[in-house]
Amino acid sequence: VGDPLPEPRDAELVAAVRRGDSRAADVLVRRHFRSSYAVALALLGNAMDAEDTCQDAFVKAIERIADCRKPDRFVYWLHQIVRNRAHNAREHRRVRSGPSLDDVDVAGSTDASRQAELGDLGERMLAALGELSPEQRQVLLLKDLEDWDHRAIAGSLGISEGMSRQHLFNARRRMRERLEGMAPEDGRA
Amino acid sequence: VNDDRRMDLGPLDPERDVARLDRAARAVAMRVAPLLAARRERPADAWGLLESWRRPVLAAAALVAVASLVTIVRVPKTVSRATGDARVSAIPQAASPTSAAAGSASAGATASAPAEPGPSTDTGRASLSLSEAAGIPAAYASWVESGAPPAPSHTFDVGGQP
Repeated sequence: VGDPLPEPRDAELVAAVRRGDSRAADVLVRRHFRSSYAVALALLGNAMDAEDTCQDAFVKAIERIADCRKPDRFVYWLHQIVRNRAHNAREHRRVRSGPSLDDVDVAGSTDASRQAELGDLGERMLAALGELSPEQRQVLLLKDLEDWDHRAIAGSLGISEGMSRQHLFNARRRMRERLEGMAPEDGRA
Repeated sequence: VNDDRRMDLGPLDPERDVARLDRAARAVAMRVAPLLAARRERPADAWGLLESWRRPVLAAAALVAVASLVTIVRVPKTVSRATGDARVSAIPQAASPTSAAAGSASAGATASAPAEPGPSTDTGRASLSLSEAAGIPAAYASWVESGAPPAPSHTFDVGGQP
């Protein structure tokens, strides 16, 4: 991902989707899936839930594409839908008494499919992410997983670039401390 | 606040599952296919026209509302400032129900007798007030109402007034 800022082509794709162009919809999904997944994963802490939430968000976005008032900033609008859907998914999961990212305990992670998919290091990373605030998680994943710049991250989260840098600094520091503390040689993995 | 040491979050990369993106794209495409097909069948021009005009129409409506509010607030103050006590006292006579009734009872006489107080005078008063509200001096307001250009002698007379 070179320049993560929305390109004018997004506006053209949005206009095409409004006319019912399925190919344009597919391009939008493929272009913005990774960043949307990062936002969803930051909020849900579960790969499968993040994927489902992303799909729901894309469907909702295409259904309500007429409400996208700034088509050249489609991705920011999409991320907000992802956040709303993730919030709903968390509430639903909380009702079902399932674990959320905030409750993740590395020692208590017993989901075999998740273990197989993410691996031990991935599980430890998710556990460490659980120590961060939702904003810090999103900034960290958008920056270090998706290589977004602070301007784009700030636009997505509706915060200042300075605040984005602050979140990133704190998130990296806490993640390193947490990951060092739960290294395999400590016998915690 | 500057920590340039990027963290390797590779284990969380969604494309570790190489099929994930295709799976998501196909699932979304299947779910939105009926909706997009319906959009293709809809007259594109009508939708585009509505979409393109929605915001300008809303902006124009807001502008008209603001202009209306300003006018409503400003007109009573201007009228009360511009009109003298004599004119204010004359208004109830022209608009009184008895005058209107008399005017309608003798419709034929009213038609042949101009400059009688009655409905026509009332209309003139309203126009005069609006002219004054627009900032037109009282001396010119009657010409604005009549639509007839003033004679040069009138112009000089008025211009000579303090």
